[in-house]
Amino acid sequence: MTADAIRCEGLVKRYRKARALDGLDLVVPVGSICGLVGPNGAGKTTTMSILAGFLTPDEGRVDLLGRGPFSPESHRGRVGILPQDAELPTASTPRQLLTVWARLQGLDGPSARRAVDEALEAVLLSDRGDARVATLSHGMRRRVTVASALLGDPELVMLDEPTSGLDPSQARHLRERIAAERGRRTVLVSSHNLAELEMMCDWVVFIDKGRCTRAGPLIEMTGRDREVYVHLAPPYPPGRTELVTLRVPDGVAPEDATSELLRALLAEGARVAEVRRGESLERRYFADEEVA
Amino acid sequence: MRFAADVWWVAVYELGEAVRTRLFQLVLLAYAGGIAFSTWLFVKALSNAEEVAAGTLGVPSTARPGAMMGTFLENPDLARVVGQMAGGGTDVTELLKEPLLGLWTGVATMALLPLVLVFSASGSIASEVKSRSVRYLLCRTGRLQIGLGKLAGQLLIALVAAVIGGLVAWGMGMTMMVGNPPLGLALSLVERTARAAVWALPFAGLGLAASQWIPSPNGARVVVAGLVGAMPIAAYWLDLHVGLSLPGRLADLAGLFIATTAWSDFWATDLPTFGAAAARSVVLAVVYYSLGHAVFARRDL
Repeated sequence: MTADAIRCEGLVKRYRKARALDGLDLVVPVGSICGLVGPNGAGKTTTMSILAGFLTPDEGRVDLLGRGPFSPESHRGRVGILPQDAELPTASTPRQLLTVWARLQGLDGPSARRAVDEALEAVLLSDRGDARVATLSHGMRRRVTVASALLGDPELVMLDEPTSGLDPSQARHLRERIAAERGRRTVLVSSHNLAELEMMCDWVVFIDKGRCTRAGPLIEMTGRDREVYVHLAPPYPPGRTELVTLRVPDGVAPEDATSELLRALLAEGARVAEVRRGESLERRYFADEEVA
Repeated sequence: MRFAADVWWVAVYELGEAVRTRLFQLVLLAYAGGIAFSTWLFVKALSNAEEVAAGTLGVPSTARPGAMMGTFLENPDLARVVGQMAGGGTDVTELLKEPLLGLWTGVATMALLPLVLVFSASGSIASEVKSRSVRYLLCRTGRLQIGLGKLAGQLLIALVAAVIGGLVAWGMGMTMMVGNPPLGLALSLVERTARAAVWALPFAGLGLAASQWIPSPNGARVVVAGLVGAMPIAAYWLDLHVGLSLPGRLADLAGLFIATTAWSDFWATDLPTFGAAAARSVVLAVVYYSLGHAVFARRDL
């Protein structure tokens, strides 16, 4: 098994004169839940579409699961894809659509039936599996498309804006479902919602203007492994302000460093309002943007 | 094996989506109505002819037509008309062994079924590309399998329509006429409508080709309708230029690529001639389809 589920080098995609991707490099480790982050027009959907084989890159290399660029022959049943804006055919029922798609993924009749039941259950749609797609709400249709991506237990799942159009409860269920996949399979999720990605992901890739600007484990990106922020309530002890920042030294566990800092602050008579490890993904993202 | 299975499942998908779509259900209904109308015309014409004959002979006419069919079949004028319907060059004596309604329905089916397939095939890929729902197939199978599966799906659609049309004609023939042998009429209708389904396949290939070139389903339908309308004109023009010279031979060869020129071969009473026509129809469907696949295989979807 390869160490990287996805590896792209120097991807370039031009739409007429505009360069949607401008030499994008991307690495997603096997078993990770990776968030693809970027502003509108950064190239997230183009990247997803190239990975899924819907678009052909003008330059660059793609490798999925160590089997080269996506092709139905070499990746059959191994890769699940949720396209961002592909409409579902409306005349059939979710079960009918998913069954044909499962058969196209190479599953036999009984396995396809089982896989369809599991996929519908995973998105809480077992009771609407036999309703025509035309009669389903936008959120339900979105869940059917998520079910199609999870169909047949693929090794790699690529989800483009999976919670778009879902109500808060459905979105939460889906986030939990995706987060639970950590270590079982690789998931690449594209979203504008940084708080949502922070809840699901353990690996993050920032892209902007068609290039990867930053990538790595979420814990490193947010500084949770080396930064502690303590907010104090007034009155502050002499020499202290509202915010106390600690950079955890190498070789010291963040928990030990945090405990020691808190002991010291309490000994000084400080009133602790909040303790935080690292910055949120959103703050880090905007801090990067400001630097840029 | 995997390739064939994929083609089959895409065909099933194509048929399933088509027959569950309201618009296509209306098209099927219109087609069944067309067959019903043509059968009614046949019954009405027969009834009128029998009334005239009964008046001439001074005998009472029957409530339901068909009693004088045997007499009419001996009339050389009828044989000439049937020969013309079959495009000429066919053994009419052999054809007339079938119930006349079966032959008539064969003509109606061969005329109407291509229109059904032009409608469904022209919108097929274009609408899926427009809505991007083709992506659900693209991430599971290859583009060639999708295209050939859709072509096979159109054949299934043609067979479904042919069965519906056949049932309508049989039901009307048995209730509005006398003298039609139930099994004989059924067998004749099965043969004629099955032949018509194969005959219509190139029109589906043409529709799918346009559906790959033109992103709008209705745009593709208009273009294909125009092309199908131009076929008899092109065939006539080529026929004028057929000869032993090189251009004449080229015109003869070009005629093979025009679907409508196969009409008379689909009425052949000998199996080799019909078999060759059926094979040509399948090849022509694939050739027409492949004109679009060159685009579909490479474009961003």
